[in-house]
Amino acid sequence: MPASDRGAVALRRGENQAQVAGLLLEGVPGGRGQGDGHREVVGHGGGQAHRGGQGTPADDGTGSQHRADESASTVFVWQQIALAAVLAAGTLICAVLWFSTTMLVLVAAINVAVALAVGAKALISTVGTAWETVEQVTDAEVAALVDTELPVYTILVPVYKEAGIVGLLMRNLADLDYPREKLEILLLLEEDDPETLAAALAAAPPDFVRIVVVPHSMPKTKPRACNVGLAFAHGEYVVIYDAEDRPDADQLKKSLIAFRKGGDDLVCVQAALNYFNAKENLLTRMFTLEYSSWFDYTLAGLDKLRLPIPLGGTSNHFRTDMLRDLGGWDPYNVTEDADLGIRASAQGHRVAVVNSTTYEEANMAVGNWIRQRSRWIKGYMQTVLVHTRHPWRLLGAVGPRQAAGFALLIGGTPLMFLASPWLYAMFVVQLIWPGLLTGTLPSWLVTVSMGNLLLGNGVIIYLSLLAGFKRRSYALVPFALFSPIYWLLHSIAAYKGAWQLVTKPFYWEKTNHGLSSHVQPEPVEVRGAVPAEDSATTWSAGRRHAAAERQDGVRPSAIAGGLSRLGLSSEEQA
Amino acid sequence: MNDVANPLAALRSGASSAEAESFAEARVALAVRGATPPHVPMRRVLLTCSGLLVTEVAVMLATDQSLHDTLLPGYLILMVAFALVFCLGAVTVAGFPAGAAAAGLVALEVGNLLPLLAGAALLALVCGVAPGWARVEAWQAAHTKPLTSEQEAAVAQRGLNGDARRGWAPGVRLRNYWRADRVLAAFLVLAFPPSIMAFALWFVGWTATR
Repeated sequence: MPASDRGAVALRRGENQAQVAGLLLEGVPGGRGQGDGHREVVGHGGGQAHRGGQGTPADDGTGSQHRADESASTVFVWQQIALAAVLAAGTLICAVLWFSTTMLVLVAAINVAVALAVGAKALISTVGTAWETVEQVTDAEVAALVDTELPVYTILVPVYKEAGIVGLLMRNLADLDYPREKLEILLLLEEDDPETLAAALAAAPPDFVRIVVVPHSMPKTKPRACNVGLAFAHGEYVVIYDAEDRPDADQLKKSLIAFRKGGDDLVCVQAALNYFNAKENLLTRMFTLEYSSWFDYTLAGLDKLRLPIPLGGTSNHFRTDMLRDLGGWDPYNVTEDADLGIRASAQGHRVAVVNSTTYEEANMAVGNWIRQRSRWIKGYMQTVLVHTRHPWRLLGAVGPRQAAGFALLIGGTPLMFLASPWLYAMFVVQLIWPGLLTGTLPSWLVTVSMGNLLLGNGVIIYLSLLAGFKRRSYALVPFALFSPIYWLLHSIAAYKGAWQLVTKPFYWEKTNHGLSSHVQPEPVEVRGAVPAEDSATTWSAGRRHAAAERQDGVRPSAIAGGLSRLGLSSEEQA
Repeated sequence: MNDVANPLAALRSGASSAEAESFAEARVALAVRGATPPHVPMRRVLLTCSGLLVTEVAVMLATDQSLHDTLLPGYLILMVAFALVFCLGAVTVAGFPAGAAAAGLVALEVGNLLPLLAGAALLALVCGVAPGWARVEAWQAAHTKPLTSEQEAAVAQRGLNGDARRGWAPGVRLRNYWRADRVLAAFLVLAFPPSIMAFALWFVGWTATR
């Protein structure tokens, strides 16, 4: 197969590691070793920015096709800029001429935004709670599957600068209950990350793991790497996992059954996400409560109400052909998953949830958390801007109920975070200088604002209480009372995200993983390839260890230091 | 086939206390693997509650009662019914209408708060020993935690022996352990809505009169 100077390179086990590392360091992927039978090259010039004309399918540099007006590559269209300018100028002029009335309208608008967003979340989550013991897929259905009749499943794992947890990733994926001959794992590495490549090669994965080196280009985002992976995928179904993910062992099989039961319009099945390091500190506890509420109640409610589901960043399973028809992920959108969920709905497809959980590492540092959350909120803003470019078209495509659900959830969420501090400011002013606000605003509006703030916080606290209770994480439940503080952190992240939307719209705030004491980075031991039978032993041992680790909560590093050592320690234990 | 060693048949002699504890947990985990959550016919509960409410409102309106007097028993019916479903039926979502109804009672009369909190505490204590919650927890644990290799071996052994009806290890039963954390969590779920309602009423009234 011919190699391209800027093409993605897929490596199989046995590839000359030193040669590849050398190529990466030289910045000339695929420049040598052509036609050696181990390397595939797909895709096109990765350095080309995605700037196609409106309505014209444009190449994003990875083989995926996007309509430019469905991509966040253009942040604002002129109509949106004009509307924002008119609103800003109008507000300014009105404030000069009729200050009290303008303030009344602004405060009322903030109240309406917060009340609608909180109300929608409460309503959707309440519907979700009603199905708390319903299993979309039962164990009996999983047991009835015949391995020989299963389709090929592709797992995409984008990894960047995460050399320390590659070995752990291999172990976690080895825990999956799926026939190895039907499994294809694509490890998506970036060209400028030779350390992770070295670690991946040192882990000596078996043949069904392929390492794909994504050529350097901008924007350097996870969705761009996933699009490259999608071009390589041979599976009938494809799923994305992050480097630190620990999916339930039967997740692939459950998703497969969910697809079979879900009908032809079902494009994606989303598994629940939760955290394995919930009790590490206050932030991880709050994050876990939030995720429990979001994935167990809110997404379940969206599913039952047949509203558009913004996908989570990982553990979303797709029908590969339908995903390709949708154009893959938008590499310019920093929450490409949420965007894809909405785009799928707009094209008449459906997203469902499945009763399986992937355990991730909760962010345990405030700075790291704000970086991650500002990216998510910025991505929601991008998604709203993209899908409201043609509001009438959206309304016609998805209908008024779904459009309202999209506006309230995707649009309402950042709006609520941006608006909340102003309500808090009013609260503080009212506490310290009673009567000051009523000099400008009618007293009924001040009362409504205070009530709105209290009620909104009450709803958020209560949903977290219920979510913790439902997961039987009783020890976490009292921490739900800290939700107002946690939500103020969201507001900080929202303002950062809004600022970045203007200044650095495509900048991907990298989340640092491996900070938890549950995920101690393992020393990378670069060595040559190992025989196939050795790696097979390693993988089965890894599976047993991952199961034991989850059951017992033992730190991975306490079990074994690296993938290569697992095989030995396992045999010794046996 | 029956002579295959079962790793969970008996604790080896000379085992440490930690090993004994782990062994006991493993036996319980295996025993509860077949546990199912209690099934509460929520549709029937909703219909019964609706019927009671409609009757109550009709009677109160027919006897020319005030809105306050009409709402009071209505909220009471909802609160008691769903609080019982929450505690005995182990349905988390039932805590939502129970709490909302309690908040409604406080909105009618703030003086109801203390008796309501006392009632919530009593129900939370019931939750601490309610068998329904133990069954739900066992069912959930069996669905979220993979078995260890030892437990897998024991399950396989149980299959070989044709004994799939109950826990493999004799004498292991699903027991109701006192769960103080569950009591506190249940209290918060039941008591939070009336408390926040009382606080909101107090705060708004306080700021208005300053």
